[in-house]
Amino acid sequence: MQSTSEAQARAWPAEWLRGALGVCVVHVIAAGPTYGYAIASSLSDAGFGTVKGGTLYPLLARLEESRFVEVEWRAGDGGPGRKFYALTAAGRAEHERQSGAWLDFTELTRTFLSNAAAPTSHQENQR
Amino acid sequence: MNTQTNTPHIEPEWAEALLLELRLRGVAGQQIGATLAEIEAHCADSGQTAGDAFGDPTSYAKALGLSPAPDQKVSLRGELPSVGSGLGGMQLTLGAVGAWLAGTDVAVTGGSLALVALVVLGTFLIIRHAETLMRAIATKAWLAIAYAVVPVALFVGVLVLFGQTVLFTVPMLPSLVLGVLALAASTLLALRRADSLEDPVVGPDGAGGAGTLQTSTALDRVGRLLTPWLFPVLTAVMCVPLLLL
Repeated sequence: MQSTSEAQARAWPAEWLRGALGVCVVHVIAAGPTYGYAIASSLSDAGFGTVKGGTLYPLLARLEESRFVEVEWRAGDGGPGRKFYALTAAGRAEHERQSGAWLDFTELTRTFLSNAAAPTSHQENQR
Repeated sequence: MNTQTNTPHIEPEWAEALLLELRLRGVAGQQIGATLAEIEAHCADSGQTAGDAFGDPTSYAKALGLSPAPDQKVSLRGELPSVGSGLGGMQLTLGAVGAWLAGTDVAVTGGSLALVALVVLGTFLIIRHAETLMRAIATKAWLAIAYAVVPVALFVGVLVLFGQTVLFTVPMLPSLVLGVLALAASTLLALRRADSLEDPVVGPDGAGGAGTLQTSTALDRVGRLLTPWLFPVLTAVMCVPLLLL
């Protein structure tokens, strides 16, 4: 397993992150009610790199609009209050479905890439 | 304009641009306050500027995809009865005062009818294209000036061209009574609407005041108090030269 600092050094292609960000954000919320900056920090610590507020909060707004999360404002100690997000029952079901699909997809990709590249039947026919 | 949103970690111009875009989109004041408070918390926690963390404020407002509040969309339509009765009442009262001084009946001219038609058409067009118009005015100063000057020029032009064409006459006293009643109705309607129109930008309860917009300068308060009395006051002011000359 990679250490945190090693993981952070890695810059993943933006389009990969765009695809995985939704399910990963919900995964952080699934561990318990949390707020935007803490979600960004968790993702950064996990090795996804910096997630910009301009990307994260519109995604949270869509989750709220779809009622996958419910929100609650909590006063901060000394600092400004924070908006906490918690998964609803519908959000939990959606997360199970989505993370299952992601695991299947990454497993498929991993298996596919692990096998030595074999010529397809189409390529053989051309010879 | 100086906006004070109680968000010390957000650049003031950035907060202002976001506020403007969300207002133009008809987003409810409370939702705007919550959006600002969340950005404030993120900037305070991360130490980043709003520009670095959230990018361009206008694009960010679009990306949020917040839906407009239902009462924001119809709010302009509610302006029609108050403006209509105010203008009609003003013309009837002024005409009646003039007729009383001259000892004649009230002459309804082509100009005054054309004026009413222009105002109704103008108000209808403004309501139809409210968002486009407000967006343009908010970004281009010369358009705001044109928007204030062109209607006045049109009104004066119409009055100069058709002001003398008498179409029919109305007795003085009924005209005066009807005019004053219409003015009173206009003020009552405007006073009733003044409460429902208020949609202040307020931050969430748990946010410790972040995102709450402070605009209550003395001038704002006076303006808000006087607006419903616009047509009666205008009528009274315009009566002065009639009575003096």
